[in-house]
Amino acid sequence: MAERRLNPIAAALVESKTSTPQRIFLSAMVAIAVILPFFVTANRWLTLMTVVVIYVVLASGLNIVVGFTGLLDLGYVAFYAIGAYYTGIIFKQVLQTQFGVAIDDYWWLIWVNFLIGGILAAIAGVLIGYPTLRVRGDYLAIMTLGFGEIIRIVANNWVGLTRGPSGISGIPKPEIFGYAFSTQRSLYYLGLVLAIVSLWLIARIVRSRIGRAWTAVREDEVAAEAMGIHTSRYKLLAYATGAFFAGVMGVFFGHYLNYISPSSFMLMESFIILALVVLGGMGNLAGPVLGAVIWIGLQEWLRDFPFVQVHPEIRGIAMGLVLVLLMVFRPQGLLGSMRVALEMRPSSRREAEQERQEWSDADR
Amino acid sequence: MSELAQQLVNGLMVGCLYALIAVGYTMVYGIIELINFAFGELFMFGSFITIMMMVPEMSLFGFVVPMPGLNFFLAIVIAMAVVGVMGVVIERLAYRPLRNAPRLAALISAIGVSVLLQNVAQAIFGSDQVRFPDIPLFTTEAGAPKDFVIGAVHITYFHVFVVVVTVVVMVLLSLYVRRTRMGRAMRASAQDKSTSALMGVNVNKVIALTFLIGSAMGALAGGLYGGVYHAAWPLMGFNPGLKAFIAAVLGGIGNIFGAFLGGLLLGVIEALGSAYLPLGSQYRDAFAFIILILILSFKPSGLLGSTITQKA
Repeated sequence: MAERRLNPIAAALVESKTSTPQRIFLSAMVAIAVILPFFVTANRWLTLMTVVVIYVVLASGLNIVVGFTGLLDLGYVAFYAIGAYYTGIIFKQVLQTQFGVAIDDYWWLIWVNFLIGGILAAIAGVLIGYPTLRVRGDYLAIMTLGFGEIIRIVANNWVGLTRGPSGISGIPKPEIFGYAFSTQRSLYYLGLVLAIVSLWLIARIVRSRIGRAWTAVREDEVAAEAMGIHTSRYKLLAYATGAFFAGVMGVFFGHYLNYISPSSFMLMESFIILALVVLGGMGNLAGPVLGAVIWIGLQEWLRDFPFVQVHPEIRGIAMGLVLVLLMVFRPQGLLGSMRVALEMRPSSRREAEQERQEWSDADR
Repeated sequence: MSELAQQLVNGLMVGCLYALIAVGYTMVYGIIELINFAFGELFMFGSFITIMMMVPEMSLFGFVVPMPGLNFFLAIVIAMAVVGVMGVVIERLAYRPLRNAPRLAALISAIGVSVLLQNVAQAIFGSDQVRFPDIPLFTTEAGAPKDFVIGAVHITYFHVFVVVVTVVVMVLLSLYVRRTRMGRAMRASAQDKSTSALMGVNVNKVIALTFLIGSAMGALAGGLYGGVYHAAWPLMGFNPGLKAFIAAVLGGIGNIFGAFLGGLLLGVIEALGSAYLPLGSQYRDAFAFIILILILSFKPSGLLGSTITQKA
């Protein structure tokens, strides 16, 4: 199937390594991200940049599931919510309210929580993904969509734990050995460090044996299985890995904003994150970065226009159009990899029929 | 006892609405294996267009525009026609170019259409609830719904109307699919598109017709939903759309009678669950997903389904 569309040697050459342009792009992005705060000092811009950094990680995490493994996750924001609520509940509801301790003394717990929040989200990812393994991948879309809503319903209704719609406020700012991340700039840099570490980890995983297995699952599940890839296990691993990074960023979000409420984790957020991945380029490490910079930057910038303030639905209309138009005309996204481009392109009718024939032969 | 009966009646009525939307999902999935997320939004448009046709004037894009003020039955038929055409246009523009692309591309496109329609509706109708006008035939002078009482169970005439319409539509639809030439073409396409094409079936036409029927059914459900809950709003389609898909999976995707059965079951389970389970009413919207998890774990082909849903 795949070899008809792409010469295997070409396929091997295309993406066995992070390509040079990708390296240059990512290095340039990092350099700009590090230097920019020296020139831009207004809190408003620093806030915007922090938001972009958060979305860069979220989109890169979702890219693992959607871009590299080829499975649609529509409730990704739920994992982000799990991280944020986990740390909020531990600090405010458990430590402060239940045990009555001064939460500032527990600054080290924040750093532990990054890991635990991520792991909790990963476990949730496995639990949600598991029932869909026996059926086709598109059921995952519905399951995750439902899960995203359930998490929000729980956050809204379990008032004793989550304080319901009013949310949890007063989550402490991050602190390390007495240094408090209290300025907008320091928080931005913390987010940036998390983002760089996350992207580096994702790049390592994706280029490893695991990543190649994911791509194989995306391109042809049956062939992958025949090659000895345990597809179910790798799919679960993809859900878990994707969810992990959302959980970590959720913890950061909670401490960054000091306040969380169910309204931060609406379904629309999941769609926005998906749009970032699709816009930048699925299955491309640099894609979600570019997608997040362009889209979130644009979206925040547009907030200043009175027309957009009165008609916030303009953003939704634009997003819907972008998703459809990209899928029809440029499914590989702005930066799209050659490999994804060849794969996502609708095959010609003859090819499709040939393929169909093979499938029905295989069924018999 | 009468409480139980009352919940059953309410559940059946909601279940009928799920069933009507589920028909679209099940037929479309049966043929092109695409979850058309936009059916929820088409349901919402069905509700809005029914209102548009019924009221004397309506605010569109913030301008008050005169409207025909037709009666409910004519209005809902017009809504079905308009939304049916919308469904065909969506298929042509957003799904047909992707028919041979990987499934992920079509799914993302479907999500895009859904987000787009939701926001277009917000732009046209505003983001607040729009009141659904009273239907004289089903409403007393005082504005209360006309009903009758059996034992202690209140049944409104409109509920009866919903159930009767659903049953009639379902019977007609399954006769259409079983007995007519076009219906046979549909069943053939669901089994094997390319072989059907070789046998002279115009597969594109079959798929367009499937979208027409599915969207019109969604619009019918939307109009009826408006009549039951007296309101329409741009986000109203999301939950019923999802649940209708789950109903289709529950009944066995690709099977019209399965969609009907799945819809009714889901409606009843929701009604009973929210009435009798602890915290049931708060977590009402979660039941459908628990059912989905159970069905995917134990019988992925659904109650009446063939093996189409098994992974290819």
